[in-house]
Amino acid sequence: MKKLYRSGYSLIETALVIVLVGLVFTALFESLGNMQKYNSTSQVDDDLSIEGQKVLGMITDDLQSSGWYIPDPTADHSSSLLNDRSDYYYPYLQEQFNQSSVNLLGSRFPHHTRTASMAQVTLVKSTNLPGSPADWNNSNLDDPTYLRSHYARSQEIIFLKIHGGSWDANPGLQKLNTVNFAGDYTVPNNRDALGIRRMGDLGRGTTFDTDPISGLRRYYLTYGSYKVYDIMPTAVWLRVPVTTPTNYELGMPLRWETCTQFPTMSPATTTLPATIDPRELREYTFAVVPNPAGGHGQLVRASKRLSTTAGDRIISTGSFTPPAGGAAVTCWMVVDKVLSDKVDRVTFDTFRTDRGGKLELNQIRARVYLSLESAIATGAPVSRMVETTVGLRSTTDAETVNELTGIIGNAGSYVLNQ
Amino acid sequence: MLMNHFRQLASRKGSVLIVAMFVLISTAGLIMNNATSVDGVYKSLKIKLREQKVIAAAEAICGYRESDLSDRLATADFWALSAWKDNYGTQWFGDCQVKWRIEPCLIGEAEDPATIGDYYVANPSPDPNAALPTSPQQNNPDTFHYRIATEATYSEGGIPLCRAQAVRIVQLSRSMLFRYAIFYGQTGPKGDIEFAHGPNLTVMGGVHSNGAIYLGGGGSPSTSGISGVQSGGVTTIGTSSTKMIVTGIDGIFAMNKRYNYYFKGASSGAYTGPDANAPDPMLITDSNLLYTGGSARSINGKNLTSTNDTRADVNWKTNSLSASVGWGGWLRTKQTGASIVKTLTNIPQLNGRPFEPQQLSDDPTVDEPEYSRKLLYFDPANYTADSQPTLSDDGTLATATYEQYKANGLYLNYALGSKEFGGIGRTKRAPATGTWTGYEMLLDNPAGGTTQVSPKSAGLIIRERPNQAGVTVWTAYSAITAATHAAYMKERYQVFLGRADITQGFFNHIYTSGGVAYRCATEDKFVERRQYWAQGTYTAATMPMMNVITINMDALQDFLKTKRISDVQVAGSLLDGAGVAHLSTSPDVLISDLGGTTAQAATTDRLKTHFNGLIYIHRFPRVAARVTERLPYSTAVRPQALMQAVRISRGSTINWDHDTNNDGVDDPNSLGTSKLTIVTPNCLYLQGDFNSVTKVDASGVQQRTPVAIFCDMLTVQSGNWSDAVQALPNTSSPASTTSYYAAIVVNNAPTTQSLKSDDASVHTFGWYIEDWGGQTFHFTGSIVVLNDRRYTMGFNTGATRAGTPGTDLPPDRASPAPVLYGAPTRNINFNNDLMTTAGTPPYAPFGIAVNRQVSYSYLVLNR
Repeated sequence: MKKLYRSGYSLIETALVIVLVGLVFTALFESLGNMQKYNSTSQVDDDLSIEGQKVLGMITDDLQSSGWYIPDPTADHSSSLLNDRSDYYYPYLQEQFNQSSVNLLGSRFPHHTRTASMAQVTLVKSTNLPGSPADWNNSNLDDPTYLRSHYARSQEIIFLKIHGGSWDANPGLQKLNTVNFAGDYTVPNNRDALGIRRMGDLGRGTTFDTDPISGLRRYYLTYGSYKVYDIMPTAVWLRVPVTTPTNYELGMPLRWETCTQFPTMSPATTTLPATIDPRELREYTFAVVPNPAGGHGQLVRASKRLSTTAGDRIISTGSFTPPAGGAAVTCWMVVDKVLSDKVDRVTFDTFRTDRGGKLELNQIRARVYLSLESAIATGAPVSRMVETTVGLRSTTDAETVNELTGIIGNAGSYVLNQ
Repeated sequence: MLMNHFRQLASRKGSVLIVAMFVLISTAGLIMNNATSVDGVYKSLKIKLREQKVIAAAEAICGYRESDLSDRLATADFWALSAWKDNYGTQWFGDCQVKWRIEPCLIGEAEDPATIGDYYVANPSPDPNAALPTSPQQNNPDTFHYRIATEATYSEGGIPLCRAQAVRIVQLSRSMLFRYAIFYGQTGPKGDIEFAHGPNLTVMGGVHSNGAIYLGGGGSPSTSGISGVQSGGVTTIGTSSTKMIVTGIDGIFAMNKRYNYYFKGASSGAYTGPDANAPDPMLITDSNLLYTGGSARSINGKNLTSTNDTRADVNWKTNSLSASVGWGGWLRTKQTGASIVKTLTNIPQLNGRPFEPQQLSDDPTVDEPEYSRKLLYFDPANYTADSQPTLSDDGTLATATYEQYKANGLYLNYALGSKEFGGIGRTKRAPATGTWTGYEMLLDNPAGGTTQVSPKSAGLIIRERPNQAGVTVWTAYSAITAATHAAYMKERYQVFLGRADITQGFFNHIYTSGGVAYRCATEDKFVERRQYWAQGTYTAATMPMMNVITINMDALQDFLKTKRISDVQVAGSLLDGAGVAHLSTSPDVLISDLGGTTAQAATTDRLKTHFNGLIYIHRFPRVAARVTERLPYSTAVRPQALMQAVRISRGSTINWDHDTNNDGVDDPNSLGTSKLTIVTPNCLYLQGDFNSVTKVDASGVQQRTPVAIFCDMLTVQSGNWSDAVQALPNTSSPASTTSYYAAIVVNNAPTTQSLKSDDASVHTFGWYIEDWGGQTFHFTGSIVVLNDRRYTMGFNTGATRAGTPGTDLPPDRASPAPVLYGAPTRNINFNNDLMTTAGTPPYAPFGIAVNRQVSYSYLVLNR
């Protein structure tokens, strides 16, 4: 009996235990709550970092395939900013939206001019970001606020891409050409079996078959039982003169992606070599548009189309007149890729707009402004500005620099919307 | 009670267990969750790392191979490129295995091949005899396209886990260096162009330096002051109405580089010896070292001063120079996108000595220099019967089967119209036995076989035999007769046209003009005080004489115009593998091609028909035991000790191919006729007017023959020069106004270590050794500087130089320097003919620039 009685707890003991346990649990829960908040914020932080890297990776992939192209090299618009706005070259920078003067919004590309509903991003959820909503009207590149603000307008880019692989009306379906590396590369004198052209193979193959993918002819050389296919890269094309070709009128410029597989040639005169009709150049842009999910902007890649189909997400449209004259065509910029739903702003700079003068001719700098709120820590959004400098791999050589700067002006001399 | 007790016990035990289990499971769950998460992150990172690895490996090898390709093309040795069989392979980069391949591309139209002409181009053919392509293939004279592809694989346990490919399409184009009035090929401070002259100097032509450009006053720095920074002659490049493109990769400065080195960037510091920390022109702030104002240096009509040069003006950095004053778009640096033009000098394999005989044999078992030396052995016992050097591989005398020396490795190419010629080219060793299959001018062709390239023209090669056993010792110049002179020259030198030994005919030929008989080549001597003083061996009483082989251009051209191969070639003297491999494989074909005994028309098929316009002359150090001119050091060890050089004389008229109908009178011919290039790796003297006589074309326009000279160093001798006068030490003959019209490839002595190389200024591209006071030095052409001088150190003295030995002068020189020359009035101009194909001399040097590079990489496997 005595043992049974002693096995129970007194009221004081019980109360003491309850208080102690309560204190421990209170501390524990608070700690857990804080940890959860921290974890959530850290998660957001990590998410933004990963998102930023992912976005920069996608931008880099595209811009690496770009380069300078001036379809209208006879123009000289280097002396005036207004003239620059009416100039025609790639890559071209324009502001996301200009309320005061539409003329300053990349008027050379009216099909890139977006209406307010497609251009103006309101950061609904994420307040307390660097900058203030008033920065929307701040376009002074020399103002430090312009650099750090998530609310200021984007500097978007219009660019061309090298035609590096297969062609498709939908650029998202195009694929780079892989090279067949099957076989043993350590065996000497094994070129034929490996399908490798000899350095002295200076002509076209004498026979051809049909490419199972493109349906185009594939010429090849025959070495015994081996076929060695010609290499005809799509990235460079032969520009022959309209009249009887002679040696020194040949050109071998880069071939840009076009809206049609076999673009129309556009000879200005019968004595000049043909060029690709600029109306058919497939322009790309990275643009920040209002996000259907609300809260942030949405960074998308859009490409130029000469017609639309049902379901296309169109961000802008307009009538484009080629620089050398000719009929205007209606073009649409259609979203073909969503890069991120967490982007508030994006800016691009070339050597012309870089105020620090650090960018070289064949470099483009991209800055992406992202933000995200955690589900728990509301009102304290996490923001990130990630930056990269991309080298244009389709480089412009030094001789062309003279032409380039002569036509589109010099470094640092060009400021958007001042 | 007992039951209650047990109930209590049971209840308490259960609670503990349940709580314990809950805690345990929760903890385990959390741990597992975290572990899974961590594992997932780790795996994700690992996969990402693998991706980065393979892409980086594929890109890295792509870049490496691109550089390799660029180097190979910069040599302009298209023969070697076409014969490149291992244009694929595999190598490791980190822990990734990388396969690579390089292949030529065809470029076609962007249009639908089903509806248009299907035009395309291929890379230029290295075959000089190849017919121009016909439609739909278009001729492509100078642009090359290649696809470089790599595939990198990362494996674990032999299982490929990740794989990426990288592809580059590179477009390389050649840039003819004579298009510039002045071109300096070296990079960094060695490639700097310095304008530091006395009399005014105007440059009306493009200027390119792979280093920097200095415009800065004459005079030499010394402790006595720095006035030379501000003084000196006027330097003018272009005018406001005739603008020139001026490229200085590292900048364009209103300074004198020598003063910068001497004072180490501050005028208060005196010279105390070479300074490894060369003063950076961008960091100099001492105004005494800057050309602060005035109009003595100008580019395109705008004065260049220290306030607007690359150092001071931020507009250079931002590429915002004003176009309206002729700078924006005309003056270029690396900041404004200018890039280095890669030339022979930038290729490590050539060691900066592209004109030296190098590619002697491709047999890895043969010691090439030694092999070459042996094969040039002169054997007097066999000379009469057989003029060939007759040593076999092992160095023993042989009379039947023997290997001949392999000429040289001139990496030059030649543009004529839209066709390419392979230059002297690289010759290969003939097989010891069996059938001579020719140099590897074997072009893989689509049919799967090979095409033997058999050019019908060749260069003229004059080489000194390195081992002159039994050669007549020449000590008494005055006593030697023409006949003995010819015999001496045949013993001393060997002459080839292609691979035909024409030594005897060449040296026996006599050209008579004005009652005077001239030989094609003679050996002469004169005192070269300036050269000796520059090298610290000047001693008025005892200094030895400069030995030159003098090429008499009138006689040599007459030889080419009047002789046939059968006239000059010793029977049976065809030398497989010797000299230029530009001729056919069969000796019979050779004789036939070159007008030999197989009934070629005697009146029309002259040597000139088979001469490609290139003369190559090479001197060799004479072995001490064999000659009186003791030169105990080989050129490999001490090249500046080689006091043997080449001289060109009587070259006022270059017309070896102008007499179309062989009647002895020049006929009207278009620009480009009789093109000529003279190449020597040695020092060269140019005596008298050179290429000054023009010839009328069919339209009645006077045209000047395109001529180039490649040499290590150029010294001009006026029309008034006399060996006899200069044979006496301490005399200086008066010069006369003389004109030289040629494109020049020469080396210089860059200012890289203070006074040691005080000879970098542009105006010293040609040295004077006479008193030119009051006379004019006319030069029209192009100046291309590729390397450091090899055969002379070239400490420049100015006309006279005083100072303190060890401070202002090298420690081993006496002060003042002797009177070595008198400066002329310099009239240096660019020859606009060089901008045209017809006006380009043969074997003009080219640079390579990578214009276009399309590049992408992508993953093809990741698991």
